[in-house]
Amino acid sequence: MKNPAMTVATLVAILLAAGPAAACDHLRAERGWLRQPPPGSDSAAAYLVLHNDGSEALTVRGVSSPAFARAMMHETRYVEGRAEMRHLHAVEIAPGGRFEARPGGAHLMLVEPRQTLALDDMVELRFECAQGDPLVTWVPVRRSAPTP
Amino acid sequence: MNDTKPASHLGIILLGAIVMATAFAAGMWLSSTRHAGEAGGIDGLLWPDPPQLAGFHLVDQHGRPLEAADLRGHWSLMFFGFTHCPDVCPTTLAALARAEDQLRKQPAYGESGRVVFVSVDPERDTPEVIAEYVNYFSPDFIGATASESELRALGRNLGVLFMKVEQADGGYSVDHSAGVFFVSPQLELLSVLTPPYTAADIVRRFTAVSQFLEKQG
Repeated sequence: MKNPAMTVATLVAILLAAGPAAACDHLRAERGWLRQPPPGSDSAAAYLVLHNDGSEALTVRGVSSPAFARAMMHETRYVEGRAEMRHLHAVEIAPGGRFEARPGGAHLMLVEPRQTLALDDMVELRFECAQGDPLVTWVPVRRSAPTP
Repeated sequence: MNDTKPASHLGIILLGAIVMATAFAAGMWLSSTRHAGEAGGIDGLLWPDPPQLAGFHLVDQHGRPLEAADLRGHWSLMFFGFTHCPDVCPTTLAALARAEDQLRKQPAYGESGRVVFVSVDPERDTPEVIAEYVNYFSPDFIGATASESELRALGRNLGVLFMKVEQADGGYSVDHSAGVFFVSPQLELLSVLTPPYTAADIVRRFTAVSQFLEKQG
């Protein structure tokens, strides 16, 4: 991690995440990463898996990041070989279910970075749900998908 | 789910797009049925009468003219996209860079084969922007764009569709054909690999298509 401010912010986030507040009522994030936007591009995509560990359905209503001016949940669809990107207003996850964002499919579109995004920097993502406190998670900046 | 709508100021010709898509799909179907047997195991699609790359006038990432004739004599893997595309374009260009590492070892592709990224968003993608962008993936990549009318002509030639759509946040995106277009050294569009695909899929398709072309003599 090259940015000391981000290191402190990361620690704070870890402490917050470890606190007692129910984050989006049993929403859990894993395997997150953010594709470093190539030079010349102001748009990035982040990928991760969201799990609903609870016994009731969850609705994720949006995503934001202090590292970007705007963020949206998106989905790439292929129609007759054509890629179409569409906004997902909400994502419902069944009890025990999951939502997977991956290259070429659902993704978090992040626009206009407010800072330089070096490889291995950690970026904060906040998921707002219909119920409960937001889920805050941190994902590393990577050049390509991590190997499973 | 879907709050995007076509951007009116771009004047999208939907009817034309539908006709092109239909013709494209029909052509691909015909090609697959005509060549599936004789190609001996090619798992892809080949045009029955491959379209010849017509004369086009693009500008490359160095601000120099890029014309169809410049692609003669070597294989070109063409991909259409735009630099503000967060998901499909970087995913594909990264896959193309990985594939090209493998393809360099094949004599047919060799050192002269090129990946050609054509931006369908000339409003934002100047040659300078494209230069930085493609170089991130590979210094060997060619990046290019052109005026919208020139891009539409190239699109009609190759069966490439693109359509500007407004986003909920006030920005815009461009829906676009996301295939890899395999153009032979004789400037024939021999195959289109439709998404989703991996770097290994690109290598397999190139190998099959180039071997097929070799057998045809």
